[in-house]
Amino acid sequence: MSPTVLWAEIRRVLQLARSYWLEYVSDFCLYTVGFLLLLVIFRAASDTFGPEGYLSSLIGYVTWKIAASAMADIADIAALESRTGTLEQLFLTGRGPGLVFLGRSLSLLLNYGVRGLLLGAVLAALLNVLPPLTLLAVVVFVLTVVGACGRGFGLAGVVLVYKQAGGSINLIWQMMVFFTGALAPLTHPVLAITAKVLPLGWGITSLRAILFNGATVTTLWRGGELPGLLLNTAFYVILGAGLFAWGERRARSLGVLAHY
Amino acid sequence: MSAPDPANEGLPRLPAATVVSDLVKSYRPNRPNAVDDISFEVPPGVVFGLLGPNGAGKTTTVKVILGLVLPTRGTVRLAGYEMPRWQHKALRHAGAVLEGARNIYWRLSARANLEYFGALRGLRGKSLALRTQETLDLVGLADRADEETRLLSRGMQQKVALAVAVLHDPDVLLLDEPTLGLDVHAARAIESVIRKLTEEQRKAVLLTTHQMALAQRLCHRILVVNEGRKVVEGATDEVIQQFGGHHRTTEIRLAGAVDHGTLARLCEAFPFASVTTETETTTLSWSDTHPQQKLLELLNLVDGEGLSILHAGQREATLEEVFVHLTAGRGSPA
Repeated sequence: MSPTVLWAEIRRVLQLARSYWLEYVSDFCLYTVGFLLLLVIFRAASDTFGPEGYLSSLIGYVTWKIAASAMADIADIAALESRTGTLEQLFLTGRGPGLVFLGRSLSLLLNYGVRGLLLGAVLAALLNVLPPLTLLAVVVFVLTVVGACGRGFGLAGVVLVYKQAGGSINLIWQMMVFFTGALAPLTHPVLAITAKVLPLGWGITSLRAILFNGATVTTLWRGGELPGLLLNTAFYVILGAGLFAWGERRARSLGVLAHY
Repeated sequence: MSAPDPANEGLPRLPAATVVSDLVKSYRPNRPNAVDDISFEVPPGVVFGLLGPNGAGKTTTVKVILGLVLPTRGTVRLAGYEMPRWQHKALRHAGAVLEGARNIYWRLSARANLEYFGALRGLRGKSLALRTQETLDLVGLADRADEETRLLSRGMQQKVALAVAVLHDPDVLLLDEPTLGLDVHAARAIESVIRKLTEEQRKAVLLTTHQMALAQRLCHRILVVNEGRKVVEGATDEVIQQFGGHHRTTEIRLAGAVDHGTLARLCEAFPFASVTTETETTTLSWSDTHPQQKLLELLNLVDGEGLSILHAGQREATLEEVFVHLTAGRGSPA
């Protein structure tokens, strides 16, 4: 990864943030209020839902918000920039589309990471809960996000060829909040298996095990969470890279890299 | 009058910047080819016009040259590098404006666009800042450089797109409709920049446009394509000379509106002449396929009728007339 590309992307994101500040503020307010409303519903549904439940949901919610937003945006920018024509200009820089998209993904992660952590910090303060952050938790979080970005790359590859697929991306990422166990651990066997297949499921389970049960690398490995997370992340990264390369080549063959 | 062709001015033969050989592009197996066996080359210092009606394959050709679309057959060398194999090397020496003002971030300022794309192209630090300022000066945007591009006029947005294309000082420029939708003044400003780039910096420019007057003024050579196939290629003047015979006309413009009786006598004597009457002038014109001595006879008759002659002379065919002639019935000229 070229630092030049990464720095150019970070600067671009910061410059764009000035133009989109109102959207960022409204997004922040919406997701803060939205999460608090969900907690009200959960508490109304279960008398035992208390501070530990808040923290468990908050961990899943923030992970989902950062990882799934970045995943959806990686795919979304492929569709958007294809329409605006900037995707072609990016390809014309000669940097290699994969590299430019990687830089774009990292800058998106930085953007969503800062916004997501700010959201998490404010919610934690409002709920008076404190997630005990450890190095292992950070590593698990990063692996989770990388897996989600891999999936984003794959979706971006598909969107390069099938532009209309872009419309379903928002639906996919919104659905992930329910099917990955982000808000509450999934107990139904079918849903539990679904969560393990999707990019965020293993990561959120592992994070909860670390933060609530003090799980270590050894216990996570023996419990299957860590191998599951590593396999899941590797699967989505390889699949994403493959689909992106396929999508790029196919789009160039069909002449649909740009779709004005 | 089109720009002179450097290839005809006794200059030493320069290596071709862009060479397209036997290019074929098919998007669907059972459909006609979008580009069908096109070959041409664009040497340095030359503006090469790729002209054709809508759907003729111009944009596809430009995108194949840039590696944005993969060819079905044929070879493309961009800045001496075989495409798309050596795309990453070739693109260091090429810049492009595709479909007017697209290809830039409208939420960023002109300067931020240049700094972003410049960084991706490997410029950094002082050299990036210097080159950004030089390019802004070149396109005349220095005083609006820090405003968001979406707030600029259409012409200025297209200047930003052009600035992004030339920022890294490429040898080859591919400009697909760079004056699309611009008013006369904005189009002239872009034209002036393109002229500067070829005449002063010896860049090779491949230009597609539907504005034939612009192409005639700017292009040293042209290739007219239709339905993916080559119609004609050559120096702009030569193509106009070769195919403009039917449109080369002789004209006599008379002062004031001529009375009906006089006009009837003129038309009887010269039935091949067409007459256009406007408020303050009457124009008689005829194609050059008729003998030139007719001009003298008509002048004598007009003089005998006591009419006042404002202008008498020949009008050369325009590229637009030649273009319509060459592509008539084969597509819709824009």
